[in-house]
Amino acid sequence: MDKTLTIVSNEEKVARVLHRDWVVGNQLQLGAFALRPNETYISVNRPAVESFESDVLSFVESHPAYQYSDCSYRCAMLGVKDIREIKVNVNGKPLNVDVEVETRAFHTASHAGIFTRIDKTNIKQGGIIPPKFLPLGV
Amino acid sequence: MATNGNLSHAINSINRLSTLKDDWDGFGASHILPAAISNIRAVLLLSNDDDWTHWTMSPNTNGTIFLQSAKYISSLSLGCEEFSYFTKKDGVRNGKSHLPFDAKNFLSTMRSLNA
Repeated sequence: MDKTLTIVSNEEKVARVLHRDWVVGNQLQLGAFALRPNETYISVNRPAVESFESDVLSFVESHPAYQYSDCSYRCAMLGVKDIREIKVNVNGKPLNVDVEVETRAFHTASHAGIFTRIDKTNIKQGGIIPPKFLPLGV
Repeated sequence: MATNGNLSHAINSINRLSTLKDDWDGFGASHILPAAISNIRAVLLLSNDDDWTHWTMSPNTNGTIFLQSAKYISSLSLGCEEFSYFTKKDGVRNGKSHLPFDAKNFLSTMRSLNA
């Protein structure tokens, strides 16, 4: 299995497999894109990789909370280019973050991660941004 | 007690959130914190049916509660002692975090975000 970490092409899309509580009344919920405790990236899968379907099916088979009534799965599709263009503001002022999509093929071949970094350090859930990285006046 | 549809739906959502156990997502998520449940119930008691028209509720993996508007790009996050909100209207982003929780203020924010 390829253990090389590479960035994912801007032309690709990535899929976030959705927990049942992340779809309410057919509306995608914000929680689908929140980092979990101890996570340093948001897990996604790459439809461009041949094993995508089998990787996702294998995942949902072992995680029933990600299965829907008809034993299917749902996912949110995100354009990699759009992800990279995400801007973060604090009190209306831009924060210098780097949002990157990188392969994580050592999990499954189609696995990838969305990282949000400040000064090359991954943001984690509940993390405090050091004041020196905050925009002036915040 | 008779309730209208939106309130009833909100009550069902809160009840659903309160049943989530640790690791509900399969990756170490926290159960929804009892104080967060208590807070949203306090908001519910002050609200009327119309207040919930466009809101959906979902769990955050850190034990807090997300509220999300289907009308605008607006959301709230409610914890034990604090809440935050974000909105984007007419291309303008606005939001605040670490606001001390108070049921009246929270409800007022919900109303203003959907106004």
